[in-house]
Amino acid sequence: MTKKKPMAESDGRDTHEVGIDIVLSILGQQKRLEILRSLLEAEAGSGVTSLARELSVKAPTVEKHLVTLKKIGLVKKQVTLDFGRERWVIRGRMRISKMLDTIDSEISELVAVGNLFEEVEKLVRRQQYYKEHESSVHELEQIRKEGHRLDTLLEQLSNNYDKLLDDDEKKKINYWMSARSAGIL
Amino acid sequence: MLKVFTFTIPKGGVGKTLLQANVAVALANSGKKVVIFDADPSKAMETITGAKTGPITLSHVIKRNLDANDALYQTDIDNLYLLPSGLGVESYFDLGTAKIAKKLEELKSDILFVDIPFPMSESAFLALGLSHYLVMILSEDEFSLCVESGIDLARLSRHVFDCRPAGFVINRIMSDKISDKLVSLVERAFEAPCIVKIKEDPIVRKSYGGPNKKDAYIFFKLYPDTEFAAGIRKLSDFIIALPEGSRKPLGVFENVMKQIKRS
Repeated sequence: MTKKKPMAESDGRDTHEVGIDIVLSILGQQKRLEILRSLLEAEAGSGVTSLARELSVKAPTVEKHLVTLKKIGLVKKQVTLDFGRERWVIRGRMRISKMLDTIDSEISELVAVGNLFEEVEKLVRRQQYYKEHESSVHELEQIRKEGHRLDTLLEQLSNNYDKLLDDDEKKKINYWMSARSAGIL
Repeated sequence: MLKVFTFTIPKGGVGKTLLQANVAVALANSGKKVVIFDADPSKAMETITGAKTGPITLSHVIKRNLDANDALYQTDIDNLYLLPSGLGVESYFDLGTAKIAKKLEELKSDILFVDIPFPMSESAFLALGLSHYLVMILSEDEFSLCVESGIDLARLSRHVFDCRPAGFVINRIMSDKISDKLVSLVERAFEAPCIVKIKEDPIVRKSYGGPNKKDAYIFFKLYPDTEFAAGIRKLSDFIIALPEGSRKPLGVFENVMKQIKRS
């Protein structure tokens, strides 16, 4: 006969292990991030109604989000001693704070650099096109403006995001900057 | 021992076939046995070099297990031969790059060029997989696009196909815009030297033979005292000075097949 495994003691959460895909999809909603930020500030936790008022969302919606966040262990529900009211609190202030910082700074920055690079590539393509084709007076003004924007973005990528760029991207940026100075781009 | 080269850049009209044909002649004139593996279905190389090809191609050689020399055709130039590939994408799957590489060794040539069509495609992966050296051809026209493509190509060549970017040629120069400063920047970006800068010469372009390629010829052979010919000699000397290539590990050929399948 097989011995039954003893049940693990419940810690109040619905799941113990959640895949990163689920975490990202749950955190992919702006309102949920706002709830987490608000709860971080509320040392003693918040009730659904006050969260709903603060975030201009209906209470049942806030409650739904809180339940979802609870599933991945980011918040928990507490029953207070004052008339048995329910409050939601953050689970692990330091961890959640670090997670939100990472999302705000690092992840956003990584995505922003990718977007910047994409914009630079588009502007480079357009400058290349202008070089190969005759332009009207109106277009010349546009070329000048876009060229100026390109120079600004190249400076920005090169000065601020050097550590976040691939070697090949750095090489291209260096080349584009020199090509702009030499007047061939 | 064999040295295998491919001249390319993912952009058309830079003059890679013309350069390859002319430098092949310069190398053949210096006494080297030179073979051009023609994987370009346009058959431009066949017309330029005056090769009279027959029905047997490298594809037949591999499928019927013939001697690779059976598919070798003499051109108008001593020591210069053409090897038609007869390969389509489907053949790469059937034959496998490793088999093709093994057959090429039977040719006992000193230098082999793999001529591929534009753009980067299955045949380009095959060419890089087979080659020891990559020579990138840039033109002043759309120079920035050439440089950007070259950066990506050099990385792919070096890291995926074990094919060393030996250097680059700036072809069809029409002005003085491509300064030395810019060239040295491109050298750093490619991690490879600029072998030679060649000025645009409409007569050289005509030697490609136009749309029907009927009037194609080897410019270097007819006009050895021109600036273009001097550039070709410089390129030829550079190729001779490079060390011989060694047999590539099987993993490289597997990479070629993987890239072809993905594409």
